[in-house]
Amino acid sequence: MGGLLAAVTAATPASQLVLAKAMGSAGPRTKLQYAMVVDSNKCDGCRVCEDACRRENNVPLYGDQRYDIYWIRVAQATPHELPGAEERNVPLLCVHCEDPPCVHVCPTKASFVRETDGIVLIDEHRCIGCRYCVIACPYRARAITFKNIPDEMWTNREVPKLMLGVATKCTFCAHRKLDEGELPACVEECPMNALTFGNKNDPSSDVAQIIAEERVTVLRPNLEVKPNVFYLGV
Amino acid sequence: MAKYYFSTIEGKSPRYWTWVVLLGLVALGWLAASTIRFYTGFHITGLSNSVTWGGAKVIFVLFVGLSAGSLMISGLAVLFNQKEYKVLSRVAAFNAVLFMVGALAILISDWGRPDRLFLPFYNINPRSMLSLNAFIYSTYMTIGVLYLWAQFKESEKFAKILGIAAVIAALFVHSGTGFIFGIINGRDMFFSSMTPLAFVVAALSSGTALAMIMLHLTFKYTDREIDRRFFLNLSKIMLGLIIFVMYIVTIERLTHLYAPEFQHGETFIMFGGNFLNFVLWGQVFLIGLILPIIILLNPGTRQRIGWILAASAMHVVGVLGERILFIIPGQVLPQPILPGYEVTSGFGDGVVWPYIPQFVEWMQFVGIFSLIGLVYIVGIKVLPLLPVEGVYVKEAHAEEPAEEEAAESVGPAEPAAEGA
Repeated sequence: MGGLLAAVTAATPASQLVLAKAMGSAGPRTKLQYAMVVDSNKCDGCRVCEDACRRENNVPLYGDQRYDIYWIRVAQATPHELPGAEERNVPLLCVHCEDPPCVHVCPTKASFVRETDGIVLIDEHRCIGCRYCVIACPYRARAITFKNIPDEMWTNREVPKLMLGVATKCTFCAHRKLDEGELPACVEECPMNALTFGNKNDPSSDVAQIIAEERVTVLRPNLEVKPNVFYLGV
Repeated sequence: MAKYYFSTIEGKSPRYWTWVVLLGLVALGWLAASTIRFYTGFHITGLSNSVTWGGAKVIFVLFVGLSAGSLMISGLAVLFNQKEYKVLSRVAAFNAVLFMVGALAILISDWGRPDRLFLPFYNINPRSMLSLNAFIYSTYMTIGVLYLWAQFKESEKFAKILGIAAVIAALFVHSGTGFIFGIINGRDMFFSSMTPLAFVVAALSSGTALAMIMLHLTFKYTDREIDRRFFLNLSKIMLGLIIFVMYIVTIERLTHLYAPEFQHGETFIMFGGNFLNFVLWGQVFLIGLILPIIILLNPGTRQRIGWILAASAMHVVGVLGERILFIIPGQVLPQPILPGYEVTSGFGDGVVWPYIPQFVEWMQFVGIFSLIGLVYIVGIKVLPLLPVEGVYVKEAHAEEPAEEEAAESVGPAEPAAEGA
């Protein structure tokens, strides 16, 4: 009977939306909401952030681009068909949407938005490895652990190794004491200070001030997923 | 009342057992490949972090389609009391359950953690199509089994009620499968309301094609007789459905070609000088649609069973291509994360990412087809799925006592009685 009910609900995506609303997802967050501002004008493409992230979160670099995992990556972007235009360095990472497609499609609720601070996280023990979230993510922020991680890649023993066969992505270094002022590894180690991290809803935070004063953009705004990583100079 | 008499096949010949052993061995290959993949990880497949849904997903969708198609044909025949199509009502219902089991087998063996099979059932996410499908699929399978049981019981009333339920469930199942892909708004090539409809229509056409092929082969190898007119009538229905499939595929492509946003991807599929061009023009249009339509229209070939079966087989191959085009291009093409920029990165942004299935995947693909074949030939031996004669028996022969005698003489109507 439950199946039949589910079948009826599935009839239209609209009914799903209504249901999701009734179950209290989304809605603007008034309390703590971590966010990041990426200043692409400052980024010189040194890729220290990639390395810092690997060391902190044991993100493996197997040496095969097919299944190497990046929680943060620095992309080189050249404006299309503009002769003489300058190449930009744009760090790309999970944008921790407030309306995240990956969370909506997850069949087991293994992906979720953490209520207390708005970070999008994955419960590795609940993920079945169906890879729907990897498909649904508009930012290519997610990856699957394709291969067991050898012990020599387990650089930070305080953080568990990534689990084989399940989805993985940036956590804003949620294992750190962010509420006590600790910063994600990439923000901490960026030599150009191109990354700023903080509580978007606290007007005194650096992040909130930049968002208020500068012309920040988000990536793929047309999708209206409410990203929490903002960009300058893109 | 006229009716068919169903019985099991004998299945004692050396040829039968050779097939059982052969298919069984290849099917074991699926199990072995899936186990190896589970313990070593996806790096031994051709998948990448760009193309994370590969051939297994394509076969999953093909099988769901064949299953839903079979059940709809069977159910509609019962529903509209089309007695001459009842020759396939049991075997099509059996095929529906069989292909659904096959679809779920290939789907789950493609998960990173198949050992967590039951997690979706107690962590329900009402907004996830996959989560809903877990319930739609199990409801569907239950209805399919009940419907088959009602047919074994020769209960017209139950068969009719369950036939209606089966048709509706099949519609839900394949629309639900279409929605898995159609609702992904982050990727241009996926987001389309056409997907569920295209899936359902192609399911009906390929389900009809499959039913004809399987019935013909089975009747031939068990030396039973089947009415030619059955194939001739069914082929006309299939022709209409194939034309409808062609219409849907064409308008979907043309719509994409019109908008500049999609143009890039669409020209890539159409003329990009890659494998997908062969899938579109060769596999889908030429083999899957145009040639079958010509065969089924041409007066010289449309009356010949051999040609009809060839057209059916070609169409199933074409539908497989259609499934490939629904699933692969959206992942192969780069995502417009930074529109207006040409992007490169270590993670492979802005790159057209190839997907070439590796040996372990081929073992899974071939193995799952063998598994289907194996369960089918064992199924027709254990269960009375096939008519003794595929010829419509006229009223005069079939009064009540005669029916019992006939059924007794060839084998009991109860399943599993003559199993081994």
